Amino acid sequence: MKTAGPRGRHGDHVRELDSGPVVALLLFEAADCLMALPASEVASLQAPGSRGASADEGGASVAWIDVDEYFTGRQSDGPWLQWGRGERCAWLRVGWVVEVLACEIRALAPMPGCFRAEGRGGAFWAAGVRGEEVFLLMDPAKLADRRNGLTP
Amino acid sequence: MAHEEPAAPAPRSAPDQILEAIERQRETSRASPTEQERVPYLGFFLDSEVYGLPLEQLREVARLTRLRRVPGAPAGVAGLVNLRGEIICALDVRTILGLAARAAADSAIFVALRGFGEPLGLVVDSIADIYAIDPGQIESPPATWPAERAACFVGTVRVPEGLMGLLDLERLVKI
Repeated sequence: MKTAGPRGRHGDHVRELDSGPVVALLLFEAADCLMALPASEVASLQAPGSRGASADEGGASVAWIDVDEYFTGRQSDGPWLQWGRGERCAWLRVGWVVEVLACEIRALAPMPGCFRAEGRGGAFWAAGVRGEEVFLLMDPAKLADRRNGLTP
Repeated sequence: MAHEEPAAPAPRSAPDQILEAIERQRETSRASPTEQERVPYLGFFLDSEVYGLPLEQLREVARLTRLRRVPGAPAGVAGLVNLRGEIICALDVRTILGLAARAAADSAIFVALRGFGEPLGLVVDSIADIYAIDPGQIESPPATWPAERAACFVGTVRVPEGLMGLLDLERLVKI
């Protein structure tokens, strides 16, 4: 993709390129599904098995969520992503990290209404296309809230 | 004695003939609706059963190549389909209608719909045919069908493949 430098800004997460606004997404696999987070919300990545070394850093308020386990009940042995949005943060264990993708905004679509309903399907707020594949933009805040009993 | 020829019937006037033809046409129409009065339906199969949806609510039929299942999605939602870059919600009609669960085969078909607020489609086994349905031939779903299943249909009609259930898509999508 040809990049001519930022021509305008849409906040901290979306950049304007010649081809249109794009957002950097970190793609990962979890629960047999291709998922993504805005790369700007991912602070760090820890190798598998390293949770013990850093588990105390975030204090008791930090959620540790194994995404595989959350959706399928099976524990993952993949890396941990440190996610943060404002005051909120969580560690997410994923199957494996695929890549960081510069995704055109026009390739994204809000999640259809039937997925936004209550329940675990509501953990996704948009979907996008990478080649032929559909990926899901996850909202870790929803996972953390549900884990903490704040949402049904 | 002169042989008398039977009198030839008086030729009917053009208006008489035309009026008679009009009446014949109307009788024929009453007996069999014209193509314009029939409603075209797309028929598709789930297992060996045939179902129909109004052609006016059909946007596109495509082979189901990539279906992204969504963790935690409601049971009646098969997942998301990428149709030439457009992300469409795919409904699992089989589950909604209470049929035996079965993974979508490689030969499964995606029927994209139109007329709904969001892009929607159905995953079906295969396409049967397009039928011109006379609305007068539509009957209520059989009393033997469970109420939940019957509620998904506007009625049934007999086609060569069997009894075709005509889907009530507005109700079906409110899963």
